[in-house]
Amino acid sequence: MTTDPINLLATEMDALVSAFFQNTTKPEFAQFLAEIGYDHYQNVKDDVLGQQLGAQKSLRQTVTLSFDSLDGAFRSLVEEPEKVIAADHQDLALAA
Amino acid sequence: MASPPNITASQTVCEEAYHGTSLANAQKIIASGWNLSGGKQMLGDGVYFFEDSSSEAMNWAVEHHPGPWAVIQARVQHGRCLRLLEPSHQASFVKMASQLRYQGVNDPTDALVINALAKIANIDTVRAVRRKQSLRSVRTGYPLEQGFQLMLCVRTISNILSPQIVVTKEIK
Repeated sequence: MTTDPINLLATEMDALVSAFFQNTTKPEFAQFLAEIGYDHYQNVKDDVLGQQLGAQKSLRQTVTLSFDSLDGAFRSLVEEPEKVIAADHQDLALAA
Repeated sequence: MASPPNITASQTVCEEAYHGTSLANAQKIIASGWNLSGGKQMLGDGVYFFEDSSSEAMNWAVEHHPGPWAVIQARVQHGRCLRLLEPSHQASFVKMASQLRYQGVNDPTDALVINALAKIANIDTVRAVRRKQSLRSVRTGYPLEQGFQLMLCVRTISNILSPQIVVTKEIK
């Protein structure tokens, strides 16, 4: 049995949720949905989901670009190793 | 609905919570108190703060208020806090979402699920991390990342303590 207040609250929340759904009639549930802003949040859902999708798309583009540049570097190494090595030598020479 | 026993209210206080808004609204808040927001919010109804980051609150204020803006700093008592960084609380959140779906609510938003859980369980505050669009390491090659925001949504206004305006920007 946990005495950690964080887990105690989680246990209590679960018990309250179970009791609520066991004891609530359909009309009461409809009233509950209205009180927690069901219509409002359903109306703004498209906007919120749109923002989330935008964030995911941006992240995916970043990852794809990173992979593309990595892929290009590996392809150069496999297909034209002399060129890559020559370029490295040139960099070293410039650095020196 | 009977109130649950208040045995797990946390006495933890976030000493530095920041709220960005228009200057006029900030002055109104200090003079007359807070209004619960029911707007387009990801953590449900409440007053939103950035924990430990005045700059995030400033960015928010600049992005959302083209005129003069301000940042309010406050202390926030967590009270009965839904901690969405905690696995046990995440499980309660998922359970609530499942129950709503089972009852015929098609694809409930996070905000709706939080509102439902908060109403049933008398939640005072909600604590969560939001991911911004751009993520990168603080130092290249190391795991510490920037691009996350620690959010605190306060549903019980009396848990917001000693608010004061700490930054203002007048637009000329």
